[in-house]
Amino acid sequence: MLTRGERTSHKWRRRPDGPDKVTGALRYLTDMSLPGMLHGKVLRSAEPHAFVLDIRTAKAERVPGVAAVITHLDVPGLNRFGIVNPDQPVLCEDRVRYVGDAIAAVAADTKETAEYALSLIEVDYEPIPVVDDPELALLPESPKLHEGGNVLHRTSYRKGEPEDAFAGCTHIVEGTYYTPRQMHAYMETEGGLFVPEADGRLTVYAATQHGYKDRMQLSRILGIPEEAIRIVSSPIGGSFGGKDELNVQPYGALLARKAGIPVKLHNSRRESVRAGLKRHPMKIVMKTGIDGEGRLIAHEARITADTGAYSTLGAPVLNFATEHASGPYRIPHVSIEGVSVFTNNGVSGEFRGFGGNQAIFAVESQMNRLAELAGMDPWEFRRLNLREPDDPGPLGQRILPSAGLLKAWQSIADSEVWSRRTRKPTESEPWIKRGVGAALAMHGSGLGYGIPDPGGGRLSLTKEGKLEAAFSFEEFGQGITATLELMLMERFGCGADDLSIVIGDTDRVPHTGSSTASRSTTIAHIALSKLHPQLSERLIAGASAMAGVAAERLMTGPGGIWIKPDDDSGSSLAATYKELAETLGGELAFETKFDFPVTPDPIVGGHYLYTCAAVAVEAEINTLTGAVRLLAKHHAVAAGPAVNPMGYIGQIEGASVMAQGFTLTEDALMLDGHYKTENLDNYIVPTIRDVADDFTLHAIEELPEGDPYGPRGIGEVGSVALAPAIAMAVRDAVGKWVNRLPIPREELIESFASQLAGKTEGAGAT
Amino acid sequence: MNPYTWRAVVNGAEAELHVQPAERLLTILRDDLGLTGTKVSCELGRCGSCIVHMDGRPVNACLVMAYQCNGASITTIEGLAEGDLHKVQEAFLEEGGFQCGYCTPGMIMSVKALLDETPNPTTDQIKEGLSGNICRCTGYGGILRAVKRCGGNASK
Amino acid sequence: MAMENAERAGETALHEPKTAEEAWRVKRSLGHAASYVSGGTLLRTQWENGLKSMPRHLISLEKIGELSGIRLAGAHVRIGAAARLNECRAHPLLLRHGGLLVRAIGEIAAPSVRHLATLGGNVSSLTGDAIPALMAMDASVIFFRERCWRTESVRDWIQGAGAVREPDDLIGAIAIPVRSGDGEGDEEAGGSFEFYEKVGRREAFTPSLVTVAGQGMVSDDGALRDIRLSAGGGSALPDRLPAAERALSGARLSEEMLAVIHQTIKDQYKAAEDLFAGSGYRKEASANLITSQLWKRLKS
Repeated sequence: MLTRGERTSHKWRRRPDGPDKVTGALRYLTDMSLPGMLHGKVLRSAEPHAFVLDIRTAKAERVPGVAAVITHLDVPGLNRFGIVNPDQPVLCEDRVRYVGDAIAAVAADTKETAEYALSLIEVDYEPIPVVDDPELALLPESPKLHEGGNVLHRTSYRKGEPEDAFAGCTHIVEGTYYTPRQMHAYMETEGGLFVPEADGRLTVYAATQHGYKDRMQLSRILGIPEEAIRIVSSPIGGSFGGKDELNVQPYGALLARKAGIPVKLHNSRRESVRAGLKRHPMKIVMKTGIDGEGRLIAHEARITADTGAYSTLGAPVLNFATEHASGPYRIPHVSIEGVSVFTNNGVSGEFRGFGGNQAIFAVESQMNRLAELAGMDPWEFRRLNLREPDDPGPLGQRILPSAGLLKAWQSIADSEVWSRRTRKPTESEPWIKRGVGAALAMHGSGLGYGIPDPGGGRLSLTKEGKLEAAFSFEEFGQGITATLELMLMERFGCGADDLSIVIGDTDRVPHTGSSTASRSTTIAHIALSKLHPQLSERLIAGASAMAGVAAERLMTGPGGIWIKPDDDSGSSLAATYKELAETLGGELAFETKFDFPVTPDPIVGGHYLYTCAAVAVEAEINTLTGAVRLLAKHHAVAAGPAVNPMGYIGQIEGASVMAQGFTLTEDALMLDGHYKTENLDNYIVPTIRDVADDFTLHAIEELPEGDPYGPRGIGEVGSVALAPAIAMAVRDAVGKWVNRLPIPREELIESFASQLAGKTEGAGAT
Repeated sequence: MNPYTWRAVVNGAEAELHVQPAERLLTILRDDLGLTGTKVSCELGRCGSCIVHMDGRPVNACLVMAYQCNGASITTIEGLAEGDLHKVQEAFLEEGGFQCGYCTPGMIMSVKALLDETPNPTTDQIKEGLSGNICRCTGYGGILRAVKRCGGNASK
Repeated sequence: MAMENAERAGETALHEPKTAEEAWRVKRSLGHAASYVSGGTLLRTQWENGLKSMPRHLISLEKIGELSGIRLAGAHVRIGAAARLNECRAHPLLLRHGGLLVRAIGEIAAPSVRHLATLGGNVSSLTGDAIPALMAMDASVIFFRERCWRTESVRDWIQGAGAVREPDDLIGAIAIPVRSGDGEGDEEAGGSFEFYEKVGRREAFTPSLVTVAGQGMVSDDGALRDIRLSAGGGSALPDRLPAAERALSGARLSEEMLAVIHQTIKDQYKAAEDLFAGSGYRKEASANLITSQLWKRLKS
């Protein structure tokens, strides 16, 4: 499928959640309210690093309208949360480690009352020196943020003998790369409604990307069984990985249970910036060597990730960065080492791309420099060193073979954008310089070996006669409900109104894992492959009995089971789904459980399914100001069939612009542990004026013969390769290598006076 | 407390409330009138999620205070069309001009205002008209295609 | 964090004076406890950011007739301080006589904000992006203090804290001189020219890193006359660049001269230094933008 965004096939459908979204009728979880509900507010630490000596809430409790005030003393169960390792206090006892740490919370009749009560809570801090540099944090004299020191996690991968191999290299490039603290900046901030039910259960209406995991974490905090909690987690106004971990839920749950009244929380943007997750800033030092023919021989990478105050998913992110630090190349000698370090800088966590964006920027930048040293075209250089489909994966593990990488490479080589590299227009203004660049990546989907990655699904015929699919996924914009609708319509040949799709409610769906890591399309595809034949067979058998027609002559279709047309007659309806529901009695349901496909080799974190992508970009640099403007993009994505073309295009376009922000304008600046870019006036995300009009997407849909897994997830891959492509374009335009993101204008600005002086001399001055 | 009587016409219906004069229109719409179609996001006029029409002009409801819109005629996303969808809404559905949908009400109100003023906008005019609406999901591709669909086919 | 919005909205009193004099008196009597509010867009941003607290008293300027309207007044176009930015941008008088201001407004905020924000608000912020344009146009600010209206050049008013400009001053109007030849195109050979450039952190709706503006003319003998250059950006108060103006006045443009002017601008421009750009970058960018605009003039 080659497209500039136009509709492409019969699979181009209006989204099922569309009408409610364009009319404003859709109630997001933060739009919900109940009469008599309370408003909750959280008191967050004034200090980035301090001992907490005392917390006094008496004055707050006495404010008229305040129904509940909580501190760590009010946590009945585990006063900690964290998806992998619960090390973040729900409510701090004696120490705060970043400005988003929660110390107390209040529920009151109005927001203003709650804020006023918050202002009356007195906290005695004893500041500890702020640790805001990961390399300094590693020094023995730095304060230790946690019992085990300031190292969250280390990684190490080794192949061959890189130290010796460098000696035999003709060219060696050493580079140090820096990536920013990017913020998700979802348009809907964190929040929700927390309802203590009459039967003693708690209903939580709050966004997450893994309802069942939230349920587990909350049950641990509240000290109640998981079954006593219901998580309703969809629809969501954007997440990009930022709402997977717990955020406001513990406070809402505790306040609601203490007050016995529903509580609503909704973070202001400033609160969201302060307390919410960010992408891991990384410093990546690389050394890479090639032989006289341009073949990669040795590659070394040292990754330092700033994980901030608490663990959350810092360890898996480092694993992922480590795995992606050698790119999709054949390199005989490799040494990758990573360290993820605690600091008092915010909390870094899950973010679309998951450590891949940083590593790919670094390794692709190395390839650009090596190609130049070798005197080779940078795209041909990559071809020369590209892994073959059957090669082992980057950590030596077996991965699913795919020709997608070469096809993505070819797409760029053939693209119109890439061809502009050798035919640049004459600029009307001498300070405008144009350049073209490209980059290539393979990006793993799923959570990786050794991490529980459960999948499954349920398919049933409801009492009302609907074909119902249920998954524990959430809709946060990626279009999962549209994708599921398309998958079901394709398999059953039915209409959209025959369907019921249930997601995001732990009371109503089986546990099919998280909506992260580009996994849900694959999970849904595998689940429906197993479940559809089972339900279909049962329905046909039922219709066969009802209509007295042989099963072989029946098929599923719109509204019910149809008799296949033959020479004598057209098709006709044997039984409607509703009739079948009534006749067969009760719910007819099939469930499946399986794990996301994983490598058979026991390499922790190693992935099995990869999506391959490449992007070429044309950029314009204004040397008067150092500003970079994108003129054209060509994205090639090899991810199997596009189940949902509208969704596919949207995800790639959206991820691409998010990557543009990562490369050119976004950085959540911190100074001494305090955020300096506190809102969207100073945290700069791309607007429509920043977007290149010229966009082409080449979706490479072929899969190898007999591929068992079908469509791959594409939620992340559009974001991972743009940065190094832009860096190559900058080099092409102005002859400078950039190592730091967002690209500093200071590095690209040139004095117009020097240009003038150059001209004057050149004009034969006396 | 200041008793301030705020009167306005909201989506064609008269509204009268006792609010503080400096109360944000956004709070009045969402909390007092239950019109949650208008969204809250940055709260300082930088994202466009709260854009409504005041006397026919697009404004950020988070920036407008009650006394500044007293007596005004206000249209929110809920009032854009009665019954059938407005052509802008149809275009957004056809072209995938939204994903999570949170920026969408404000975006659609901006598009309507743009088309009211410039029925056949060029790409540059569309981009200028929507320069105050941030979308984090779509990369603006589907949005541009939606506007072009209902704005005619003006060349660049 | 807990202090933000601790003042309940209920404690804020609204004043809606009908005249400038009335407004000024209320402000003088309440001092820091009161703020003039025009469009309120900047104030609301500052209150939300916690940079300022919402004061206990708001003095709405919306009912003061003297502040509204855009009209010809003698040899000037008089723009009421309450004129919304979008209104200014589309007004026939400004399209004809205030092209540089119209350009500047196009770079300020975004359409919906421009329906609320006013020109007076932009100027009274002291760092608004309309100000360099107004300085280059030799505009004046007409403001009310004590018992009467006063007029100062925008430049002197912005730069005159404590002397020329006092905290309670109420801007009533901005006056832009009408020039002969206005509206007849500004790139005529040997005619007048003007430019406005704003560098932000992205293409649109961005705080300024550097904003420059210029206006002048090339007389029949090829010499530059009547040249005004201004620059601002970040937290720097915009100002004129008199050293560069003097060097250019009466001179003929050449590449050598522009190379010298480049340094003169860098030396004179008082650049802000903040987390988003250093003073070195700002000096380089402002000098680049001004000299490149003059270079284009040279080449045309």
